This record gives sequence, C-alpha cells and structure tokens, in this order.
Amino acid sequence: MRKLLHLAVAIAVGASLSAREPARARRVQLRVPVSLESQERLGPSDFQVSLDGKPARILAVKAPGDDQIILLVLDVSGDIADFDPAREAIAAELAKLPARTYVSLLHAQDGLAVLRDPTPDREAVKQIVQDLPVAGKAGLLDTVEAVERIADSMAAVSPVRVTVLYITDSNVRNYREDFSNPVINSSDSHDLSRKFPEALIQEKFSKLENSLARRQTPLYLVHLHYRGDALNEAYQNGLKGLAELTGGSTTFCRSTVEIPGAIEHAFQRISAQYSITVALPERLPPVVQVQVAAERAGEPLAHRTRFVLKEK
Amino acid sequence: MTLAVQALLLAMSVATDAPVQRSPAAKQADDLQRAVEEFRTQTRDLGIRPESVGTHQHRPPAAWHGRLFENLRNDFLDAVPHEIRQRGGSKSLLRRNQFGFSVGGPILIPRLVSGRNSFFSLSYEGVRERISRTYLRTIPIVPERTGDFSRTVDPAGNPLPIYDPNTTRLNAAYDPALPVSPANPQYLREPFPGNVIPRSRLDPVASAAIELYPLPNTDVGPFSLNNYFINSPETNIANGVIGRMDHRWNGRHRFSSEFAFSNGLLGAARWFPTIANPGPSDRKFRSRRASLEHLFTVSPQSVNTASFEASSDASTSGNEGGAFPVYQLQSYLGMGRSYPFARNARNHFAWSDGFSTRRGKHSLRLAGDYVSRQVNTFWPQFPAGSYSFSPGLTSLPGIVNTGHPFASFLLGLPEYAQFTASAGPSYFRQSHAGIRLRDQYEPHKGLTIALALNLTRNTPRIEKYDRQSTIDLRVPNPANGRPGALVLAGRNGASRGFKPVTWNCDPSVSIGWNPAGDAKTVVRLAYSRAHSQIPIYLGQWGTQAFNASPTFLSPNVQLQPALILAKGVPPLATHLPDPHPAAANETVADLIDQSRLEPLTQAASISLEREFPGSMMVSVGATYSGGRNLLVSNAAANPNAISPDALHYRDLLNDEAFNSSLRPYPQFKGFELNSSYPAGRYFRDAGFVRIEKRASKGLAISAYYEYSKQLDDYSGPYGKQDYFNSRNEWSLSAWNQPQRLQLNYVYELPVGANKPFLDYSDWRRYLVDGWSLSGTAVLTSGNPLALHPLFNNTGGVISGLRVDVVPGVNPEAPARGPSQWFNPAAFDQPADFTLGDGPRTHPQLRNPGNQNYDLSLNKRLAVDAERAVEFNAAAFNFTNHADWNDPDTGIGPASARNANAGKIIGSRGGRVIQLGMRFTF
Repeated sequence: MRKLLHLAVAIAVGASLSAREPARARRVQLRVPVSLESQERLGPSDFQVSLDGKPARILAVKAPGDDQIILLVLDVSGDIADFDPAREAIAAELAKLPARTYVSLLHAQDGLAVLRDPTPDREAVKQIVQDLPVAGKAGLLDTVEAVERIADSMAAVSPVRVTVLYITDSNVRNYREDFSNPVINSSDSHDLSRKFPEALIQEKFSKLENSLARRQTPLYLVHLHYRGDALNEAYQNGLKGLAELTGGSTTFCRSTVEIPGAIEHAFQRISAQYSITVALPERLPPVVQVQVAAERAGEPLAHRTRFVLKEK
Repeated sequence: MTLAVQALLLAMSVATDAPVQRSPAAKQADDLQRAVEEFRTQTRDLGIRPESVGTHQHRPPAAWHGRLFENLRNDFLDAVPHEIRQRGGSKSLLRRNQFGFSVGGPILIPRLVSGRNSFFSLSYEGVRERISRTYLRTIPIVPERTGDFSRTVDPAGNPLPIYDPNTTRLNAAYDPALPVSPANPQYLREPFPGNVIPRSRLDPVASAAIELYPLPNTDVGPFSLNNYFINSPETNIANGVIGRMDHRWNGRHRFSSEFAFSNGLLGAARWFPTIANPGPSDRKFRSRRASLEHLFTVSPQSVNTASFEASSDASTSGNEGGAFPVYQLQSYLGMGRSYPFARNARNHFAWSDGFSTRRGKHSLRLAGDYVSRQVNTFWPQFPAGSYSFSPGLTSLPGIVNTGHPFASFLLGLPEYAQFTASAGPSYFRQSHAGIRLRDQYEPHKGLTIALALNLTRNTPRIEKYDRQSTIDLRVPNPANGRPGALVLAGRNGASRGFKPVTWNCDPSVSIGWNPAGDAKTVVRLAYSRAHSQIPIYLGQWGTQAFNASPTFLSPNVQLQPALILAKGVPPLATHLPDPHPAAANETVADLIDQSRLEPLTQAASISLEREFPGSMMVSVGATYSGGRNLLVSNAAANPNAISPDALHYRDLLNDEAFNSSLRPYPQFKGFELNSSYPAGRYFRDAGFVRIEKRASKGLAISAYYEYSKQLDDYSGPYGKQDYFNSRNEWSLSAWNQPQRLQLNYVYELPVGANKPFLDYSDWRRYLVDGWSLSGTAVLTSGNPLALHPLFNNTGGVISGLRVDVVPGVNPEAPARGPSQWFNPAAFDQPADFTLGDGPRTHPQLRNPGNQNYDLSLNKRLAVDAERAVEFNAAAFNFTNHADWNDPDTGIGPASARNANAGKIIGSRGGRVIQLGMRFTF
C-alpha cells in the first residue's frame, strides 16, 4: 500500500505540473451581456456603463437581430424519453431564429465533439439533432471550459454576439470522474466522511467558477431531468451558479412536459440579449465590477456584474 | 509558416483574447464568417472536429485528475460522550485515520491507445481506527458470587428469597380449587438459611466459571442493577481499491468495467478480559466485485445496455478451538458467546439487458435480468453448549418474585440446554429472473402516463448437495402418529427447496399532469405493487438432519432442571446425517414455510409540486403503503403455539409433558423460523411537505416534514401475546416515528473570489476565498412504548405477555421528565395465567425523540487553476445534544413494583469532530 501511496503522490505532482496554463496578456475590451424586457431596440447612446464606479467608453452595442452565433451543446446520456421532446423543441426554436443567427452543434457526452460548424442552415442542424443518440457518459463539467474558451476566441476576432447553450440531462453519478465518493471499505462502519456527499462536486464547481469567471461568453443551461437526491441537488445548484456567474441562466425540468417551454425560454433569452463592448482602462484591476443602465429600457437591466480580468 | 508556429500563434490568440494576424481574404470576410473561421481553427486545435477522429496529433490528451486525502478523528477534539461522563469517565478513546487517493484520466499508450476513447479511474482508501465502545450491564454483586443472596433484592428493593430445590415437597394443605398463591402453595420449599447457598452445594462447573466473571465496576442502580460499565476499544483496519475503465468504440459501442476489493479486520471490544467474554468475536472481512457493461447505440431512438456483475463478500471470525459454553442468566449479563466462530461468504452474479426505444409518443423499455445468489456458511451457534437459567428452580414453585436465575446457575440447574453439532458448511443457492416492460406515453401536452409490468420468477433456497431439511407439517411422525415429521430436500417427493418456484406479475402506474398546462405546477399520482424474494440469511438454519441441534428442556421449570450443569450436555445420540423422520423430535425444530407465499407490498402516492419565484419549489403529498406475508420471526409467529384458552390449566402447564400434549405438534419443543415466516401485515399513511430553495446568493436549502402513522401485527421487542388472534395484535409499529423534520443546507459564504464581499487579489485572498458551510438537522419523535410485565407466570404458554391497563388512571406523567416519563401506576402486572389487556405498543406513550445536528465547514485554497487544497472540519452532533435513553417499561405486580418503571437512566451522544484535508489536481 505504501508503494501505491508513493505512486499517487508522484502522479499528483506530475499531473499538476503539466496542468499549468501559460501566462496571459492584458485585455483591452470587455463584453457585457445584458438582458432587458423592452422590445424597443436600443443603441450605444442609450446605455451608460461604469467599471468599478467609473464611466466606461462604449465601443459597440450588438442588439437583438444583429449577428449572433449560438454554440448549442447537447449533453444527453440519460433517458430517450427526456430527449425526444427536446429534439422537437429545438427544431421548433431553430426555425424561429433570425436570419443572421448561426448555430453550431456540438455534443458533450463521452467528450466534446463538433457535429456542425456554425451555419445558417437550420435544417442541417435539425437533422443532426434528430439523429443524435442518447447514450454515454455525461460531459458537461468536462467540456464547458473548452466551449467557453472557443466562444471567447470567436468573440475576440469578430464583434458578433456569441452565446453558449447547453441542453443536458446529466446525472452527477454518470460522469467519468466519480463525484459520488462510493464506499470502498464496506466493513468500515464508522465512516463519517460520506455524510456530506456534496463536497467533491462543490470542489469541482469551485474550480470551474474560477475558470469561467475569466470568460466573457454567457452560458445558458436547460437541464431536462431534475433529480432530488442530495448529490444531484448539489450538482444542479452548481450548474445554476455557473450559468449565473457568466451572465446566463439555467432552467430545470421536473417533468417532460416542461421541456418544450424551457427550451423556448432559453432561445428567447439568448436572441433578446444585448452585447455591449466597452473599453477597459489602461491599468487593469484583477476584478472589475460592472454597472449598466439604460433609461429608455424603463426597468432595471439584468446583466453580468463581475469580470475577472487577470490571474490573481 | 510551420505547423508549430501556427499552433503557437493560435495558442497566443486564446491566451490574450486578441485577434491574430490573418490573411487579407479573411479580413474581408464578414463578422460571422470570421467567427466561424475562428471556431474551425479552435476546434481543429482541440481535435474535436469530425475529421480529427483517428488523427491523434492535434488533440492533446486530457490531463489526469485526482485527489489525495486524509481524515482525522481523535478524542482530543471531541466532547466526552454523555454516557461516559455520567459514569464518571473523562475520556473515550478514539484514534482514526482515513486516507487514500483517487486518480483518473485518459489511457494513453503510444501507437496503441489514443487517449481519446479510453479512460480509467483508480481509488484507494485505508482506515486505521481504535474507538471505545461502551455498554452498561448488570452482573452479580460480590456476595452473590459465593452464594450469598442476603443483599439481593427484588425490583422494588425488598429482599428476594432463594429457595432450596432439594427441600421441595407437596403441600398437603394445597387446595386445587384455589389459585396457587403464597397462602395456597402447591409445593413447599425451604429458603436457604440466611438466603445463603452453602458452598458445598455450589456446582463445580459454575464455581469455575465464576472465576472468569469480572467484578462490578460501577453502581448506577437502583439496587445493584447497572453495575458493570464496559468501555473497551474496538479496532478497525481496512484497505480497499476501486478501479474503473471505460472504452468507447466506433461511436456506437461503449464498454465499462469496474473492479473493487476490500480487506478489513474488526477487532471487537472485550466485554470481559477472559475466555468467557460474551461480546462478539473479531472478524475479518474480504469483499470482491467486478462488473462489465456494454452500451450499444442501435439508432438515435434505440439503445441497448447489457451488463454482468459478480461480487463476493466473505467474513471469518473466532477460533474453532476456543469456544466457551454460553450461560444465559436473564437480567444478568451472561458468559460465553453464541456463534463463537464462523466462515461466511455471499456471492452474487447478475446479468441484465435493457432495450430502450422511442416510437411516436411512446417511450418503451424492455429489460430482463437474471440473478444467481450463493451463500456459503459455516456458523454453529452453540458448539460448546448453551445453558439457560431461570428463577424457577430456586423459587417457591408457582410464586412470582421468588428465586433467582444466578442462584439456579450456582446450583448448576439449567431450565434449558442446547448444543450445536455441525458436520460442515452449507452451500445455499437461489435465483431470480425478471422481465420488465415499461411504456411512457404522452397522450397530449401536459400529461404523461407510465405503465409498467414486472414479471418475476423466484426460486426457493436450495443447498448445493441437498443438505436441507425441514418439518413437513403434513407428514405423520412415526413416533406418535401426529402430523409433523422431518423431511429432507430432494428425497421422498420433497422438492430441493421445499417451496415451489413462484411467478408473479406486478403492475405499476404513474401519472404526471400539468393542470391547465401550467408548467410550474405538477400533479403526480403513482401506484405500484411488488413481490419480494425470501432472502438467504447467514447461518445453517434448515439443515437439522445434517447439523443437529439437540435441545434439553426441563420437565418442569420449577421442579426439575433440564440437566445437571456439572455433567454437561450428553453426547449426540445418533450419527449425522440423521434422515429419520423422528430425528428432530424433542428439539426446537427448524421449520421452512412450504407455501408459495412471498412478501407483497403495495404503495400509492399523490403529490402536488409548485414552483414559486426565487427558485423555490414546494411539494405537498400523501402516501399509502401496505403489505402482507411479511417475513416475521419466532416472536411473531409460532405454528406450535398453545391456545391461550389453555391458561385455565394454570400451574399444570408447568409440567412439560402436559404442556407439550397441548401443542399442535407435541413431538417438538418449538419451531425455529429464522425470521423467514410469511405472516406479517402492515400499513402506513403519511403526509409530507417539502420545500426546496435552489442556490441563490450562495444559499441552497431544503426542508422536509412528514407526519405518518404505521400499524402492524408483528413488530416490537416482546412479540405477540396471542398467535391465534392477529387482529388483537394490530397496533402501532414499534419503529413508527410519526413526526420527522429534516433540514439540509449549503451556504457558500459571500466573501472571496467570485463573491460580493472581500474579493481580494493580494495575500488576503488566501484567508477569505472558498469558504462554505453545509449542514443537516434531523428531529424525530420517539417510538411507541412497548410495556411489558416483569414476571411471566403463564406456564410457558404466552411468551409475549402484555401488561394490564388500570382503568381511570392517566398514563401520561403529570410533569414528564427523566424521573417520570410516564405514569407506571396506569399499568399492572397481569394476574398469573392471565393475558394482559394492554396494547402491544401504546397508542399515546412514546420514547423520547431524537435530535441530531451535523455541520461541515470547508475552506478551499486554490493553488492554481487545476490544483487546490481543501480543509474540512465536520462536527457531528455539533450542539453536543444528549438524547435521553428509553425509559424502563417493566411493570411489576403490587407486591413488587419496579422502582425504576417509567424512569429514564441517563442519556447518550456527544459531539464528534473530524478534520480533513484534500489535495486535488
């Protein structure tokens, strides 16, 4: 057993050394996703943006109807009965999207893979969704960083609005990485370490939050199958926190009848989202608090308020 | 530009979020096309494009991730448990280290395995522990060990007379028309002078055994009761590994495999420091498990999953050469242990296949499974003999509250003896096969109906070499011509398992409905029915013809012992196996129910779920469940019971020959049912409210409250009073806790990174980042009280005698507290040879409720993006709350009231703290 422990320490050190990220250069601009109820189209002059309480220069505003790319990621590994209503709802929502909205399709179960590059061809995407099998290991937690990174890169080279939408039925017990912390020694009747089973999944979310806080692309999630056990509740709470951190949102479906409405709501919010690009100050703080106002909007805006700009 | 330079530039573009230098053509492309081009570039670099499949060079394999952890517990951190503090103790030994690692990631073998489709994980955990176990028991006081009972008192504190069985004679003045009483004794007996048994009368075996009995070490009382406090460490050593592999092939096939093994040693607490220790033996555990699953995606709408699992859990305990006889002394802690050594293994093999498909509005699933179970067991109960002692032989015959079991022991006069002759292990086998068809149908929007049918085939337990036997209650016994004789499995027309193979078809239905199409409201209805297979328990019950268990019963428990202790149990009179139909006569015979009955349960529920603003979900519901043919033990079923109508024979029932003549199967002293007799019924109604608040501002909370009522005809510590009238046994389940409130919460403290307050970027972030709090609180009401009389003078006819209710007296204590939890004056000891008229479990009186509050505080310290250290402090029962022990429910007669009745002695519980550290990478 001692050899096993030595091996584990060696693996831990080796793997962690290899995992270090390269140093990052400074950012020059920031994209703030903003949602508002008003149907009226607003322009750059309608918004006032402040960074850490100081007015910021608005470089561009992309409004509903402007160019948009949705990275639609399907993470379906559970019950066919959950995903079939989702297939139909996705097809219906694709048909409603504005002409200048491209959709890319990826799947996350069993690892991230591109099914279709961003395209205005709704029928092609719809057909792939119809043909996508429901099987494998859940992949949302393993892929969301990469998808967000891709989306940020796209936004960095083009002013289009980019949004990530995950449609998932993932169960925390169906990941390759085991967050359930199963009992290993059944003869150990005094084990109290598993009384709070959410510790491992919380830790995973903590890492993801630190990573996604540096990203600028809003993340939307539709979870097709809400589960009520303690571990899945912690998982689902983590998903909610993750989406909110990026300026997106999460919807959970407790029954299959809720699925079409949840998907419709997610697409509507994505389509109606503004993207405001502001210039960052010369001296970048590690973290910036953002305030956005628009008098013509008539009501408080829903927007992301906090961005991590530099590695601490 | 070389590939390497391109890759470097692409990496920089990701890192800096700045546009890279592009060709003029790309610059002219419109915004969407530029973004699409970037998408292609990025996904190509990650190797996740369709054309990348099979070309490993672009995609770096994902890194391995894992964790190292250590959890520490030490009594230095804990509160001294209440039960120890109340005995004057100041320490409860606890040393526990739980450590291990887990690592997982892609499998990468150059030129063989790409790291794209094959993954593994490996987890190890070790445990090293020493922990105190505490028990409070009663053992003989010092004078009693030499036969001096002058200081021995009854439960009311009055002197307890010990009578000399050698002076027994008929009372010439006895009036048979009147009940036996101190004024009209049937037999006369002289008390020992001074209530002291002369040393010359002490049984030599008993005298030798006394030397192995420890001395009292405390005096909790009352009256010398609760005078032995055991505080002994238990050791626990365990090592285990779980490994998993996952391989995806061809996009449509996925193979998953898992193996696990664990070895453990549980060193039991020592109740006595001698060979006469009645506590459990040390046990060694070994568990192995392996499984393989194949998932085949037939089409987008159809998936097939096939799996196989094999597992083995084995344990050994004790030393076959070191068994000590078992001396059972009723209220005193006995000597020696039952099952002093054992070798047991449970093996399990399961195959299953499930096919799921979608056709229109129907989601269909057809699943089949086959499970084969093996139990290999060698577990003799009393290899060195067991001797039970009662007060009868040192009492004034027929008069309760006279005599003492320990006095009977000192004289070497057991009322019952038994020993187990085991020829070898038993190899039990059983199988289950099932087919389940489920259709989930959506007739229209807002309504889902799921129907399922479960067809099962259960085989009864068989023994690999047909070394099973039972009593067939239809076969005449050659000894007396009465029904009931020993039969062997697979011989003379008996089947190998004695029971038929059973086929059952159980339906279930559930409905989900959104009223008026409101997606925020769901009404759920469900009904299900299920049959359960009778399990195989460890032990060699049902092998009596091959592993004999001769029993020796006193001809009259007040007049004559079963045997003389000094002479021991006689050797086995026959050779094993003994297939003779009368071979089980005069024993407590193993009886396997031969009917096709299996436990049947039904459940129905209705609930309403409503989502409210603020991520709040409220569910309200009601459930019903019920069952029949539930498996019960000897306390709740006795096919050889004597009807309570026979109580009018009164003291004549103490004569074993007469008593047995009243039994339906007089050739047997009783039946051992091994908790496998299908005769129990229950039902349970419950209403519940659940409130869930999803994470908002870092706080997630859920609360669940349930009010329930459960009744049955079998549960409780003292069993049934009347086996012939189950309706009269219908009362609250012994474990029914009508109210239960559970609260769970997780709170990410609003300070530090990604939080509204104290979001520092300097050294202070190490202090404020990553704090979270988790907790649970559980409050339950107590179980119903099961009151029982101190004395049972029913000639062995009634084993679960109840108390009498005193009319007009309030059973509730006027000021309920540990000194008086209930009013014992509301109950009475029933008269001799009379049933009690009280309930099996009281409808109003309950044991004290329980409360528990656990809290876990976590601090995460991110070393970098991938590595973190987490510190954890978990406090179990963090309020150091003490739950009261259960009150004394023994009710004595007016002549000897139980001074302790209704009182609670002490409390239990104490705060336990565990510190943990985990490094993740």
